[in-house]
Amino acid sequence: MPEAYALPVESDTRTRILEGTYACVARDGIARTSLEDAAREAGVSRATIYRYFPGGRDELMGGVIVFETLRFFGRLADAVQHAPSIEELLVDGIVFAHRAVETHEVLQKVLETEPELVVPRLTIESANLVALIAQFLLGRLEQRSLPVGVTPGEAADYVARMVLSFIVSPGRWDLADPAQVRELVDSELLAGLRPDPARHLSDADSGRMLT
Amino acid sequence: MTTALAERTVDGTIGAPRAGTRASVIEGALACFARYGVSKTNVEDVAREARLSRATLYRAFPGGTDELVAAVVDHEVRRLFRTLEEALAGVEDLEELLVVAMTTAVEVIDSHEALNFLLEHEPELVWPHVAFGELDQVLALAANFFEPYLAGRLDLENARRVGEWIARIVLSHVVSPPAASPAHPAPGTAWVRRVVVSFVLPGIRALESTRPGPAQPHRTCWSLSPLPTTT
Repeated sequence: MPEAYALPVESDTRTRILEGTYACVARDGIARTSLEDAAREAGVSRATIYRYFPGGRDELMGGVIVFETLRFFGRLADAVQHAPSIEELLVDGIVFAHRAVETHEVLQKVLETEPELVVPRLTIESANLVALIAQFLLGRLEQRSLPVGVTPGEAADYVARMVLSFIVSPGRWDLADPAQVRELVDSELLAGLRPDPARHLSDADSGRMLT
Repeated sequence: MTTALAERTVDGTIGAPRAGTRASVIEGALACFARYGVSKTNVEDVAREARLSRATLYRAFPGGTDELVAAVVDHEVRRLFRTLEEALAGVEDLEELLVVAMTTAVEVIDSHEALNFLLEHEPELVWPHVAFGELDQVLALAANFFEPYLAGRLDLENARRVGEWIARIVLSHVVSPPAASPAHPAPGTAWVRRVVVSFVLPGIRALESTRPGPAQPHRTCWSLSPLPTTT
C-alpha cells in the first residue's frame, strides 16, 4: 500500500494543508480550487504545499480525495468496531456506510457536478480500499472456524470486495433497511464462511478448525 | 458524394443509410478510439477509417461524436453479451456456468483495446459510468442477462439477484485485479473458480434453503451437488 495508507500520524502541516484544501473543495468544488486557495485556507505558503505535494495541484487533489476517503473509512471502523459478531459488524457497517455516502454533502456535490474529477481517483484507490477493509476484517475472521480449505486471508479479501461494491452501488438492494442487509450478509457475504455442517467439530466460534 | 447518391438509390430516402454503413462507422470509430482515444478522434478520422465520406457518416450519425460514442458503447456491450451467450451455450453444470460466465467477461473486458486505451489515457470518460448511481444500471443489465441462464435452477428473483452478484465480482476483478499471493498463486480463472466454489455456491445454497415457501412461487426443484473439496 502507498505511504499515505500507512501514516496514521500525519505531520500536522500536511494535515492542515489537506483540511484547508478539503474546506475549499467543499465550498467551491475541485475544478475551482487552486493551489493558492488551498494555501490561503490552510494558512501556509505555496512553497510549503509544494514541499509536501511536489506534484503540485494534481497531487494535492489526489491527496485530499485519499484523505477524506480514509476519514470516511475511519468513521466506519469506529462505528462498527464493538459489534459482537462479524454478522452484526457487516450489517451495521453496510447500513452505516450507505447512509454516510448518501448524506455526504461534498461527495454528492462533486458526483453531481464533476464526477470526472473524483471517480477515476477513487477507482485507482479501490485496490487499497479492498486491502484496508480486508485488514480490518482479518482479525475477526482469524478467530472464526472456517470451512476446510478456506483461508482467513482469502475470505477477508472476498468479503472486503463485496462490502466495497455495495458501498459504491446498492444495485437492487435497499441498504437503508437492516433486514434486507442482514439477508444480504447471510447469503452473499458469509454463506461460504460457515463451517461445513458435516465437518462441524466444535462450537462455531470457539476457534480455528483444525484441518 | 458518390456514396451518398448510391445510398439514395438503394434506400430511396436520405437519412436512412444501409445497415452496412452503420456497422463500418462503428468499426471505424472503435479503431480510432483504440488508437487516439475519444477526445482526439474527430469525425474525419472515423470517416477515413471507415472509407466513407463525411456526409455519409453524418447522415448515419447526425449527432456527431457524441452519438458515435453512444453507438460504440452499445455495440460493445451487445458484443460482450453475445460472446457470453456463445461461451455459455450447452453449459449445464452450475459451477461451470458461473466460472465460464465470469472468466469470459473478465477476459473480454481486460483484452478490449479501445477500453484499455481509455482507461490509460482518459479514465475520466469511463469510470463515472461504472460507479455510484450509474453502476446500478450496469448491474441491472447483468441481472437481466443472466436471469434466463439461472431461471431453471432458481426462482426469478433469486436468478436476477445472482446475476447482479457475479457482475459485482467481475467488476471488482476488473477494477482491482487480485494479486498473486499464497492464497491465489494464479489470479484469473483460478481465482474466479475459488470464489465461485468457496463463496458463491454456498450462498446460492443458502438462498434456496432459507427462502420461505410463499415468497417463492416457482420453488426450484434443483439442488446443488456437494461442495468439491478444495484442499
